Amino acid sequence: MNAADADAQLVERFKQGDAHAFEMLVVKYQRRIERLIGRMVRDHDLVQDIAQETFIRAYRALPNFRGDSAFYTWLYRIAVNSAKKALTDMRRDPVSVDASFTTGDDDETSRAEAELTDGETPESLLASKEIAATVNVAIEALSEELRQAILLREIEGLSYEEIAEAMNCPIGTVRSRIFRAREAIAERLRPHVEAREGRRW
Amino acid sequence: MLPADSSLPALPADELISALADGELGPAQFDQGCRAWADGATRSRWHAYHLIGDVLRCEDLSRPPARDAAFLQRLRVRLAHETAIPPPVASAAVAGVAALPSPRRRSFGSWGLPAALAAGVAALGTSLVMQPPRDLQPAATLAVAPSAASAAVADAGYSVTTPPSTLQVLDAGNVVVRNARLDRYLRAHRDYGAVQPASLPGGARRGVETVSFER
Repeated sequence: MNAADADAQLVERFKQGDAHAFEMLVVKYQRRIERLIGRMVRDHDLVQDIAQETFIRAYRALPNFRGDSAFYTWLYRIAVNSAKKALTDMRRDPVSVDASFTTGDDDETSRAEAELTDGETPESLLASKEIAATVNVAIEALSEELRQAILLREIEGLSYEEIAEAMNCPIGTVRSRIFRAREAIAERLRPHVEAREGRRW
Repeated sequence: MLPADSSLPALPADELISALADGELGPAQFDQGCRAWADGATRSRWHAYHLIGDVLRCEDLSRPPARDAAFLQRLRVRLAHETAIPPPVASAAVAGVAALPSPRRRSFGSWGLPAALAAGVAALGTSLVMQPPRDLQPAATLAVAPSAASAAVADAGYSVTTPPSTLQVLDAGNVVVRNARLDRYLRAHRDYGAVQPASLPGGARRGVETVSFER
């Protein structure tokens, strides 16, 4: 079972009438889609808008998605097209702000602003870095077997069966180790969730 | 290949979500895991697991959870105004996914009927009751060619092969078209809510669901 198969299950469930399955895919791919769009558009708010538009378009087209490609490959194309359309529309608008475009020029200005996109706050950027650091610390704190299991899954993309063979243990043990590893890391992330005001799931 | 349900032990809900994130559940457990999406703790867990995976692969993907939650909330508001997803297929065994039971309330707001269904019902409504020929006796059943109603069902995207329609005379004044395809079509959508005039095209009523924030 690979990532594409996992997505195919959710896509099929969506086609059968469960809109929640689409939400699950949104939560799964939102960050990747935003990062993709952020390579084309620098304005943070515009990135968010285009990401929203991407998922709206995917929602409309998903009933006709035949699975000829992986779901994320299909979603990727929608995101790129949505970003291109937004950029084209802005170029037609004489009032549009040129700073919204990424120039691709590696001059001093773009390097200095590379980390902070327009509209993204320093606090948000700091929070993101803290979360990344927390995950790294949590991984190092895991036992060898839990760390190996989750890295084989998340980095190497192996199935439970493949991990079981690699670690010479039952599939049930693999499932349990990956779950416990995730829970241990999520527990360390909890203060980052609870400290923030605003939306929760 | 999906693992067979028979080979999987019963899993606690939280471990189920972890295995679901990896696509390592059989059809029944997959169904159980998806149903748990209604619980805020499940959504939080699903987000955390995928955030962890993203960050392990690329630290640039790190994001505060609240920010991602806000993104989903905004998307829900927009999706509440979209045309509903198409009607469910009759067959339960599609790609190994377990059959959905009686449908739950959709997450994107108080939708009326899906547009395709509304069109089908509108067409059905004009052909379900017809004036019978004068010489037709009560309780008579005639076999007829597929009706306009069946065509409407096909137009709505519901593709199930069926026997020809039959006319069943209820009384001297009215005839009801009995059609196996129609019956299945209507049964499949029965639990999606009663047909309300306001739900039909032109009178569609939309609402935005109030999202409860819970951990």
